[in-house]
Amino acid sequence: MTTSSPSSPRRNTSVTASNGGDRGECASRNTSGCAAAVIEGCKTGDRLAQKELYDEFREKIFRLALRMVGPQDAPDVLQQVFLQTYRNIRQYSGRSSFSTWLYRLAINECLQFRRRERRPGRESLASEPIDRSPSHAMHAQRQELLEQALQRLDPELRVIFLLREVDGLPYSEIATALKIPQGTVGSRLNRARQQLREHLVQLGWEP
Amino acid sequence: MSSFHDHELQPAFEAEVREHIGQCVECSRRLAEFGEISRMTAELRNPSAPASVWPDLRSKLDHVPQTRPTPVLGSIRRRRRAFGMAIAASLVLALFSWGLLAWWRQSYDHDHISVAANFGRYLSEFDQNPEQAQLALVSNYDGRVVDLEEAARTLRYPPVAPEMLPNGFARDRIYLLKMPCCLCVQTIYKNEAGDRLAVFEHVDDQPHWFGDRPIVTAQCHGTPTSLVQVDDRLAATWKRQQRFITLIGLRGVEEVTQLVSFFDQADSAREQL
Repeated sequence: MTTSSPSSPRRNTSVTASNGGDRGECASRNTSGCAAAVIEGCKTGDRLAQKELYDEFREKIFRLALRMVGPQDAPDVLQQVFLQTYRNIRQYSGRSSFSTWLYRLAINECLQFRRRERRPGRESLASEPIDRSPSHAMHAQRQELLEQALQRLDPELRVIFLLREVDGLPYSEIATALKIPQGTVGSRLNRARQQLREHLVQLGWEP
Repeated sequence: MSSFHDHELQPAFEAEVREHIGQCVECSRRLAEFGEISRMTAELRNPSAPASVWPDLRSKLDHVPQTRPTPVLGSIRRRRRAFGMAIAASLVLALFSWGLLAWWRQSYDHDHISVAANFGRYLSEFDQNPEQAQLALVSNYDGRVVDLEEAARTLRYPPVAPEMLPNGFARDRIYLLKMPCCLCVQTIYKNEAGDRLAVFEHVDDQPHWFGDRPIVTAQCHGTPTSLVQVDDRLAATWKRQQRFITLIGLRGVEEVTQLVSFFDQADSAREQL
């Protein structure tokens, strides 16, 4: 849902028609980080609006799912998150930002998936083939260590760490997404980082 | 420490924590490690979502009806039956809602949000209007004044309530409070300058007492201690043996360190006896 993507095939036709006029593309984004018109379009089942919403958030949600359920199951979880989003989007009232609402849904889906499947995070991303050239060896080794350490982290702590460090969410948004007080975000992040450090050291990291 | 690392502290508190970190080797080392972990995380590879997800998703969406068909009743009898069922369903729903509301009201006081609100008021008024703050806390949590013996008898352990604390603080009163977390002992200390300190001893860590206030963890006298800024005072929580100590009304990190050290030495002295 970028404003400058010339290749975007987006609507102009059916979407505009379905709303009785131009939705102003994404230039008029609200505080949710997503144009209100796109959300409204999704509420009416507009396929192009749904695609636009998907394109806007798919990478963020996929990143999260990847490290919560593993690379094998992440595409299924991504699909499930968006199915749930489209089914429940009428419940989105606009009180929190849309991305926070979506993150909450995605976090629940990831945690539910893990509980349902009753298996740990399984293979980390580090098990995928990566560039082994000497110039990348050190870099790749650090990445591998961190991916493995992340998989050892408790899922409740891992998710809060990922929201902050990978997605860069402020404490206020994390608190809203997880329905916990803002103070608890700081203390849990502290625990996540300390445990992550311990796991890294166990894996051979030298700070 | 995380709140400081993530620039989530209020500026005044951030400056105080920065000053502490400048003098504390342990905190400085931990902060450097947090920074290194952040740099490593920023370097992680983030593969893109597979292109096949959207076609699959669209296919599933195409097989889900977007709007529900409008029900059409064929006869007056069916309409009456539907009307009766709607009334019955409404009554069941109303009864269920009433029960749910009653349950919600009963359990509301035990909810963290309620504790955060009550304790938030206590914290806000502790400095300016301590008597009123105490009255409200006692009223909310069925508090009562006890002596040390009664407190120990009721709690089945000797509470942490020495007669004197550093900086001329003398024990004024001991309260037992029925907090949602546990039966909590609170000891009020006063000094000649008119300052007050409140010492809570509780079973579990209670970060939600501080609501949305940022919590930072620092090593005070070698003990991981959670610090919360409350106006121009500090609140501090640390684990002491099997329970947690929370102090309200501290004037700075130095005083926190002094008191953590004091309680630690008191414990060591007790163990040697």
